[in-house]
Amino acid sequence: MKKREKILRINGDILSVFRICNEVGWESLKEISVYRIIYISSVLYSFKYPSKENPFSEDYDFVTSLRGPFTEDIKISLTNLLVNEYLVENGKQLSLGKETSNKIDDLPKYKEKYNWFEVVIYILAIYGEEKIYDFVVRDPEYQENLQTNSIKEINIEKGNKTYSNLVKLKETFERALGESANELDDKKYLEYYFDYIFSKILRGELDHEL
Amino acid sequence: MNFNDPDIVNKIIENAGHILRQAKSTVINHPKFKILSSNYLEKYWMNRVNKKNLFTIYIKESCLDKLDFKKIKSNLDTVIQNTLHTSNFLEVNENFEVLLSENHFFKDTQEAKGYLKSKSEEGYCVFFFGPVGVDAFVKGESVTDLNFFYSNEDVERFYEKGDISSIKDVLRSYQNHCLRKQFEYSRFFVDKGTIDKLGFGNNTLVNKPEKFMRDHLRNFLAERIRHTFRIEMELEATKRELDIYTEAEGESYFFEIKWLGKSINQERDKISVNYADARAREGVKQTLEYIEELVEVMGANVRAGYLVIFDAREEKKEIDFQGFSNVDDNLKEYMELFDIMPPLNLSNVHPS
Repeated sequence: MKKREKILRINGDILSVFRICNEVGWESLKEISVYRIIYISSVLYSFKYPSKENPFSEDYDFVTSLRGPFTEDIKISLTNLLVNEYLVENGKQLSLGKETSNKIDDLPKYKEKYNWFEVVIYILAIYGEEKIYDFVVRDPEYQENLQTNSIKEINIEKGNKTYSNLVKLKETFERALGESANELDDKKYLEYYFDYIFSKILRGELDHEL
Repeated sequence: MNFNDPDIVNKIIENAGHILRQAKSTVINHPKFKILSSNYLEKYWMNRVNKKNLFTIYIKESCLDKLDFKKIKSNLDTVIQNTLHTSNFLEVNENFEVLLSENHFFKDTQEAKGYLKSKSEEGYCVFFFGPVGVDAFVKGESVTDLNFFYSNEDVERFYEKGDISSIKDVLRSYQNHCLRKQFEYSRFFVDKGTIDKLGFGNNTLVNKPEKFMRDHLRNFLAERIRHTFRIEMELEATKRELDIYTEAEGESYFFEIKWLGKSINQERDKISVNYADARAREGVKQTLEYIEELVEVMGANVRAGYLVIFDAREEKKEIDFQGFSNVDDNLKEYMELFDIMPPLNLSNVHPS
């Protein structure tokens, strides 16, 4: 029963991702992008809400794989959503199917996670779906697990390496701007963080650096 | 990621005013504004064949909430594209349907920029598509400052063609401005998927890249120098071909192209060749042989034969010509008509 509830919650997250992606003009997604978007959202959550419990923690056990962060449960959910026509597959692309459900709104912490997905996807959409790979492959927490060949699940809790980097970025702005930094909110820091990573990637400066 | 780097702190301090101003702007920080400019308009600009075509698209700030990206994508490729055939100043709605199309021709950049800023003060987001990229204006201020020229007259003056005496400046510009743009350099290399799959390194050139390099360089020269640049001009006796050839005031100039680095084979599963310094030394000899044949057999009035080297090695080192020791003595007298251009560095810093 517990497993079934978990899959339902993950179903809800996946459908949220597809709905928000539709709003930014991504009508379909590669399966691998679904894993990556949920991973990025989960690893960054505690930066925005440091005093809240990370709602992704109870459902996601990401491990490193050759294709990026992976968890069997997303795989199961995707199959479930495809079989029930909430999603349809066209080649290697997935998109929303003819079935829709309003019940997912009632899932625990659904709205909280939906709002957070919205923040993350709207930032990712600035760069395009094809750039999500660049961000995930250079994500400090993911890289640490990869480099140490860790078989343990990736830490998405507060204090993970990505979180620590964001905190450092924020402290740097606060040091440089003094009190004026109060005018910047955490969402803005997230944007700067992505901006910083992608500008480095574009200049080819982040290939080996953690 | 070292955020304690004093350079980063200094950069934030330097740009503090700009950062705080932008952070306060409800328009620039609108979640859909950045997606529109980065993921739709910049991509649209990038895919345009003629980037010297200047135009402006403007949209009411109040439309941002309702932007429909699916319709925008489709209309950019249809309605907008067609309207741009006859107009250069378009007002659009949230779906990028054209509300108003006009033509504005500005006498210079200052006038154009002034007009775009004033338009943005009327509650519009103004996007200017210039030779270098898309610049946005919001509430009377520039959000980005990519373009230097905003009027056709200024662009024309910039592109005014020089004569052959400007060849070294033109090649410098080719290196510094053209070969550093991702959409230009990425075309010399195999795609990212193949790079990742085969693991030969980012700088893996396409199969037989020499013809592509020749045509790419020739097109650049033809745009900036007023003479006619021919390719594959055949030499009378040996039937060998000059890569690029031109004549100016009755004098002949030619360019022999060589490349260093590795290229993929036709089947795209192995490296076919990997050229190092020896290839550049062969180029010296070959160029001198061409000069000899042009002068002695064809009686051409050769002013200069240039060796142009595209350096696509992963690690760029100074090319060792070994004092031209591979050049036969009988060719050395033609050295006075020979020159080596500074190497054109090709780096696939961000594979696509």
